[in-house]
Amino acid sequence: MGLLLKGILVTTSIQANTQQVHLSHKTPWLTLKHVQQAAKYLFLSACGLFMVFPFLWMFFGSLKTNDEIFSNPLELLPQHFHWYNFVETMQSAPFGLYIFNSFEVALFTTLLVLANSSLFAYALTRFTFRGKTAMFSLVMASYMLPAAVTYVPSYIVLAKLGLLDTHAGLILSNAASVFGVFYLRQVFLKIHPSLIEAARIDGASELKILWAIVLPQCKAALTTLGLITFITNYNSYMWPSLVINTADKNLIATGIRQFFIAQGNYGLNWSHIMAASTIAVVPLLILFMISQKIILSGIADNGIKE
Amino acid sequence: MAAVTLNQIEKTYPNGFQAVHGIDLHVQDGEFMVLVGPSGCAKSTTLRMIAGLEDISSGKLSIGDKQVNHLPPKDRGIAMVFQNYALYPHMSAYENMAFGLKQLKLPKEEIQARIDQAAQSLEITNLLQQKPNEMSGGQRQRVALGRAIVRKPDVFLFDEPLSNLDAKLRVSTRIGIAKLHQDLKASGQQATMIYVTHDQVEAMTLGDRICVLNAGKIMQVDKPMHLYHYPANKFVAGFIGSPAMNLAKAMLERKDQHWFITIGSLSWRLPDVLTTRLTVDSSQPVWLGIRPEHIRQAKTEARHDNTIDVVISVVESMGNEQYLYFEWLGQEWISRMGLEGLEHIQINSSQALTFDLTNIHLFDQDTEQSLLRPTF
Repeated sequence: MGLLLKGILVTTSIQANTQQVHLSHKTPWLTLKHVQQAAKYLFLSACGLFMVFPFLWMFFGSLKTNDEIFSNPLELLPQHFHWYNFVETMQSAPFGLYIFNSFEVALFTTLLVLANSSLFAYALTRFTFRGKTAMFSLVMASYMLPAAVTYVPSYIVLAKLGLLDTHAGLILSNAASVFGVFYLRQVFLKIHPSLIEAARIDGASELKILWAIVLPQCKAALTTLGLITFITNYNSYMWPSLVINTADKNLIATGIRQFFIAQGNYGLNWSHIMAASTIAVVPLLILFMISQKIILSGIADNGIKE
Repeated sequence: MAAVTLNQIEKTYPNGFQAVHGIDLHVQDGEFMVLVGPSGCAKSTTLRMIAGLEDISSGKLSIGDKQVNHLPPKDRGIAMVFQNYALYPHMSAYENMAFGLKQLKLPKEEIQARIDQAAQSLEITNLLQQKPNEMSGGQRQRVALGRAIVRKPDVFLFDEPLSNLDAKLRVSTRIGIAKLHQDLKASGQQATMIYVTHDQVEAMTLGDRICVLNAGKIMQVDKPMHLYHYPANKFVAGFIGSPAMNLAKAMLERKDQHWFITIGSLSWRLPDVLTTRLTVDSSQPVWLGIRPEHIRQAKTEARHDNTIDVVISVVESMGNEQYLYFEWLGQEWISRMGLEGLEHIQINSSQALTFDLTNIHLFDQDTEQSLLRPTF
């Protein structure tokens, strides 16, 4: 699902740019440009369809019976819409609690990632200090490490801090993001230095400059980073399944797996799995719809920034 | 008191490049000082060191009677207007102007009053709720000026504030800045201004004094008209004035009691008004300088030794005057004349032009310093 939403993010930004091009080239007759535009839209629509298909399959699967899901030939739409699947699914496990847990962990992790990444990126772009390049290189090098390599040392650290089987442990262990630092560094570099200098002359502290001058100009980037971080942590499966042992502390992904697989009935309740997954995705879709406007306005702003 | 004193100020970058070489400059309280020079002469670096945006490698910088080398920009009592306006794009004009005052924790009423007053004097009251991207370049620059004014600084710093404006707007904003300086002085406020530009018209029209910089060194500090009429060296002579002064190698020779300037095959006797100003007492090679307006069309009835015959290669008409270009002694020269009498001048026509020897300049060929004492 995270991949799907990231795909939508990218596709939407491409479409926004394409629309601007389209508006500025209105001609009455069919020209090569029209054909090119049509081909472009066709390609983008195909990409969009390709990305949205798993979601549609999941949604319609949640309304089918188990037999319909595996029917041959495959059919996208159910013969009858079994809305009751959702009621049964919600009654079969505490999915509301799992979604709340996921939301809580993802929200606090995202806030910490945004704060940490902004502070680090600001220091990297606006301060001159010894070892700055080396520090940045070291951070970027750590990006190359596979996540699985960090599991054991992170687990030991959490155990020593007494944070195993806690949401705080999950939040803290994901509170720093190399991608966040790199992404915001690139965004901050685009802000004209004279704005920072003007604020310094105006008497603002560095924290005030970051808060009042830099961050408001990077709303789109912050929203994008926030959304990506939120989705990643909301959907996170492997690391939470290692850290969390207590059932009512499960996040949604581990919760779905625990319930349907631990019961030993794997493969029997696919329509319920689809329904649970659809319920899990709803908060992400709402979040995306809210933030979409900010992201698109940010994309439009980039064209007129000095 | 808000005099600004630079004492042996130097700037050396970590890579070893020395941008500023021991500058000594005293800007008096209330003075409008213009720093002018070609690109890369370190005029902006000098201004940024005064503002506290660049570290000073060595030397002493004082504003008023306080040494400010290590003070942050906010504690130096300065306000700066940037070339690109540097308005906060997400804030309205009012918020831009109020931002600095809020950092000073001034009461809301005081902030409102200061902004209203500045907005009125700059005629931007109707723009106060607009954001920078809703304003024209000229309007943005006025808001940037307003942001500086409301802080009531001891010293105003301007970093090429008119560079991004079109020619017409540049003139009107230039006049606005000159008026602002006068008004601030008249109202008894601190009005020391340091203004960086590469445009000599701005320098000549705005500055009480002008500091000409080249390659991180001060070439001359003087009043605009003194710079024009008595350039201290060849660089200032060539830099100040448009079109630029004609400069050519020549020989200054003393024969008996008289001085002669020999250029090409011609030898002209220097008029007494110049010989009394000479700072040397023996013959030497020199740079001869003459401004375009001092090469005039020769009157047919009075042809002198200092008249030459040339072929005009280009005529540039400026409306109220014309520039004539011609080749002589293997280099290009330019003459500047009023419109009267020019009707007859055609491209490729032969003309007799006279050098006004009372207005020539002489510079040492090695040191490039002027060999003529100023008369003021």
